[in-house]
Amino acid sequence: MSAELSLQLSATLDDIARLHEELEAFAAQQSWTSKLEFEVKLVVEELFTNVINYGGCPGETVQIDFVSEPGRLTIEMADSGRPFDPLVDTPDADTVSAVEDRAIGGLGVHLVLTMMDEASYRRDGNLNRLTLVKRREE
Amino acid sequence: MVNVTTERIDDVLSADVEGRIDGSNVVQFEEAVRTAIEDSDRAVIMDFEKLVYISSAGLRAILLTAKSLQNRDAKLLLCSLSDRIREVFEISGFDKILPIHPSKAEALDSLNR
Repeated sequence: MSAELSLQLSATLDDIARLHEELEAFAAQQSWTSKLEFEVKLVVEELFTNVINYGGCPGETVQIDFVSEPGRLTIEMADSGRPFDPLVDTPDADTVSAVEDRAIGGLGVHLVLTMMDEASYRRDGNLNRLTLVKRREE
Repeated sequence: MVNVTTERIDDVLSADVEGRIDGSNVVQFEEAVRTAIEDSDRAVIMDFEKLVYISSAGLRAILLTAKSLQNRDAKLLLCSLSDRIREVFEISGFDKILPIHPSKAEALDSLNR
């Protein structure tokens, strides 16, 4: 059985808590594994935080839609910030340097690309649109 | 919600972190850790047994803590990571730069060797 969740968040750090609450309820209702719930919360927080920090659209609406099906989960995110493709326009994550030299940038997107099976970006009018797919084994 | 409970074992600060560290509360986490650390601490052990979630905002705070400790030859150690939290540390390569122990007792032991 498939189910949908549609969220309209405001591009502020305060709405991260609401994002997590909504996802917890949806995950429980859809009997997601704890691993799937954790990964989805993490990747959506990372991308939502990117919009808050770099989108240049503080307080504006960010639309996030989830479609949960037996074999796959699809996440679509749209924001009206400046044109920004986080899959390309963020620095490569540094996962090898020693503590003193380690840079932090790009870790969020690195986590997204590692945890999701597909990720794509397109500019649509004045919107940034990201689509993520996670295949599910159960 | 994130709670940090600290105690000092000789010159080692132990910090039990409970709840979740995300972009909306990472400042509280950073503040709680920073105010608890004293210059005389030669190591800080963060116990993540009751930590259920962390995002890159939390990783950034942990890296900054590790850098600031290293500047004065002190160490940051981690212990009791759940599978989920460990996965985040592994993907980020943090498991290569920070010692991760199965339990607080083992983390303390490693300092006394």
